[in-house]
Amino acid sequence: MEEYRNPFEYEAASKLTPHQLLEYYIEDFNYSRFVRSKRNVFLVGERGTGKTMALRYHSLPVYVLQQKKKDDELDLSIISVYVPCNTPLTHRREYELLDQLNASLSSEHFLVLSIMDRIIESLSEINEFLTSDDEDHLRGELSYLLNLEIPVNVPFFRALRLAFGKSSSDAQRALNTKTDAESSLRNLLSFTSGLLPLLTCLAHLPKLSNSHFSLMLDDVQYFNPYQIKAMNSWISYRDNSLFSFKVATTRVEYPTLETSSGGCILEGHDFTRLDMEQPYQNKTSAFAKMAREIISRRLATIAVGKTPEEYFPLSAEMAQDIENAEAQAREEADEKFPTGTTKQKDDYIYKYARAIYFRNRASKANLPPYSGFEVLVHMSTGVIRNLLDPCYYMYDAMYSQWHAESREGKPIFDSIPSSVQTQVILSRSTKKWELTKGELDKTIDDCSREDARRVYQLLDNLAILFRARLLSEISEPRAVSFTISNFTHDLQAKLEPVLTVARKAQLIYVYTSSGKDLGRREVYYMPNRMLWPVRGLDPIGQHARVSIRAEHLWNAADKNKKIPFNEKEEIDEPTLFDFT
Amino acid sequence: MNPHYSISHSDIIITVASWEERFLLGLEKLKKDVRPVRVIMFHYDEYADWSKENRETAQRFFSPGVPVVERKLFSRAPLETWKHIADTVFEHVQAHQSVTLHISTMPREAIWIICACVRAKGCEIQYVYNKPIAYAEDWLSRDPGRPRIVYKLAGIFGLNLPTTLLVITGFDSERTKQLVRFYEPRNVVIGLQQGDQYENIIKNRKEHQKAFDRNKGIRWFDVDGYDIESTLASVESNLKEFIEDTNVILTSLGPKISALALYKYHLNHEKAALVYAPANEVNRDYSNGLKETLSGRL
Repeated sequence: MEEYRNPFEYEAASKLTPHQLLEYYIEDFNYSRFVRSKRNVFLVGERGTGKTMALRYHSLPVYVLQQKKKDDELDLSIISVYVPCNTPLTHRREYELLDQLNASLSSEHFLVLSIMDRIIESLSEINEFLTSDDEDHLRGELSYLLNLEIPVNVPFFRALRLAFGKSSSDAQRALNTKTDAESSLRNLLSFTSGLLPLLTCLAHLPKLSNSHFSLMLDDVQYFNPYQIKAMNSWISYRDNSLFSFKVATTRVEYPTLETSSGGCILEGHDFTRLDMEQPYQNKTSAFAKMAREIISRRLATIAVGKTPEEYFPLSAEMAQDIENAEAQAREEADEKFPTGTTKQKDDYIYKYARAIYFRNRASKANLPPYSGFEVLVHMSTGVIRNLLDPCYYMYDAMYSQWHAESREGKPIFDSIPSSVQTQVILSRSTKKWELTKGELDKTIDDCSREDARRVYQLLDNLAILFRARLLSEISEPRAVSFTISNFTHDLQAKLEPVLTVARKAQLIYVYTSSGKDLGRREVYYMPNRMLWPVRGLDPIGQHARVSIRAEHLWNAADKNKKIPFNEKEEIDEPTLFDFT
Repeated sequence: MNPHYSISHSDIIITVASWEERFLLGLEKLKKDVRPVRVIMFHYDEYADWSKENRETAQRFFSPGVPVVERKLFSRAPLETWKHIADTVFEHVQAHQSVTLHISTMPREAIWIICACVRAKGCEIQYVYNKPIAYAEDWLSRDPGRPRIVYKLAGIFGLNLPTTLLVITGFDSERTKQLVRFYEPRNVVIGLQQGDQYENIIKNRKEHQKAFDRNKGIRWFDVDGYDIESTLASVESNLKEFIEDTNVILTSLGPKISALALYKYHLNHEKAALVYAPANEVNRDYSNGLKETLSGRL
């Protein structure tokens, strides 16, 4: 029997092999020029936004494979070392039982050893990297500097990793003792006594004499407070010629910027921040292009020779109805602006055609036949995992049907019929609401029953508001994101925990853009657009944000009160500088 | 006669007081069978009001003659909980005394910490578990806290090895999913409770199979979580291929006795760590009655 392989698999990037990474990853120059730079960079985004993929793609083992495939010479000017931090070792908590000094030293010890081990593991990927002379020198220098017993008669890199492992195990064993752990902790390594000497010794090797080590720490939100401070202290190190840090973290648990010495690292000065979540606005936006490339690349793995639009076709019925709605909007535009410019009329059609489609459907009981690649991209809300999720289930539905029919051979699906797309979209949308309504307090850390209820009520009332707007003849009927006005301290204290739970559950994403006052950044909130299909809303939103008073949001969340809707309500129109 | 119940005298009973009926009913039974010289009764501060009446009754059971030492624990403050247990055991349990753990209403984290502290004193441990007649129909617990590795039972982790998570499941598949989401393990090994007690087939087995239908790489196995030795044997056999080359973390969301089996596995394999998945809210009508008592030695 053929092994079933879904091309839209979106398991954690940490599980992909270097070969799969090369097959799936779409290099984005906006990220890679930073990831492969000598600067300290923070990559910030929620789960599924591609942080791990971006880091792993640039890691040395993948790079070596890439160069091998291209038959290119290995350029070692930047050596990128991927260090996953969501590991059980990071999650140890015995530091809480220790005095501050030992808590800090032992936390740094584990972090430093994890990085050192990854550096050596990465360098092991390079064939014939060390001459026997290099090996002798390194062995001598490192056993002296690190004060570690490096086993002899074992290949050097392996011996070094064994020594690191032993040092880590000894410290863990000491922490596990039921008595006084402090006195059992010995020979703890720090940045200056472990990592820096290792990098310095490696830089003395002829092959690495011009190399820069880019240390890529993934999921640092799991670090304990001592590890965060230690990492920040390293980032504040002024000389970035030998090493730099690429730090990936979620936005909702963004770590403190405090250093061990009580100072603070500053964005722009000590590090550059890259936002991995990208608001998707139109076909020409960076995310739209990337989404298209991702799906194209996945389709190439099953060799169907189709574009994403061909593989995920729009329902003929919906296409026709939208065309009719566009014609109606054009007529209205002609009537409204008899002497208007083409741009004026096109803007009108852009704003109202899809709204007319939804309004015309309002009298019909059933939901629209949601389908088409464009809808899938919009529903992703700018998150790659959200893009792949419905595609995965659509392919899976096709496979289940094929399997149920006991068909022979290799399944080849030329496209996903729009009916299957609609069915899956509505089912995933329903699932999202089920999560929202009944599961948040079971799945999100420290989400109380009350906050779970509030998140549901908030989103429910937003859906009601957006639906009312969609069916009304207002200036921006398809707006599906919002800003918060009159956000007083008191209301912030009440509403923030609710928004935080919603963000942790990826039901709401937060972005910033330039506000109406030039230079001022404005925060806006975009509910996950996968919520909208089952509520009869248009996942293809428009360039507009509804300004909602904080008290109305709080009343919606807490008391399940409808958010007031006034057809004359002001809309925050984006400025020229938005969405670029 | 119940073949799974055989209890002998021991010096100390350690329990965690609860508002559930089986706490008092079980303790009353133990008083006669164990004839302790001291009782250590912990209770969780967050539920102090709910357990107050039962604690007062428990004090009366043993009075006069058997001192009942009461100490607070805290669901949301694991550090304080660890310290209170360690200090209490240090102060009130003598080396090599015999100890009976009344685990029916004891959270798994408390079970593990108490076992570790008592064992460090060289004490013999027997355990007693009371099955209720029924559990609450709608929900048992909610508002999960962040999963946490238990202090000092944290194993010895290899640097940069993949993670293997073993879960013995209970009635809430969302908590299992939360653990998988949080630790992002390379390998997931799930032990499903056998039998249809408490609607186990629908509420546990089928729920879990449905919840993880997309995760094709999961290793499933059947387990009788009410039997410590068979659970241990199943865990041993299912982790055999992972224990050397991966970082193994273990947890139980199923029968409390299975938590003891995981503790024994940890004793056999110092590399393996125990993980606790807390719930910040527990149903006041969690269970009712006392159906059957199981006991054994650790």
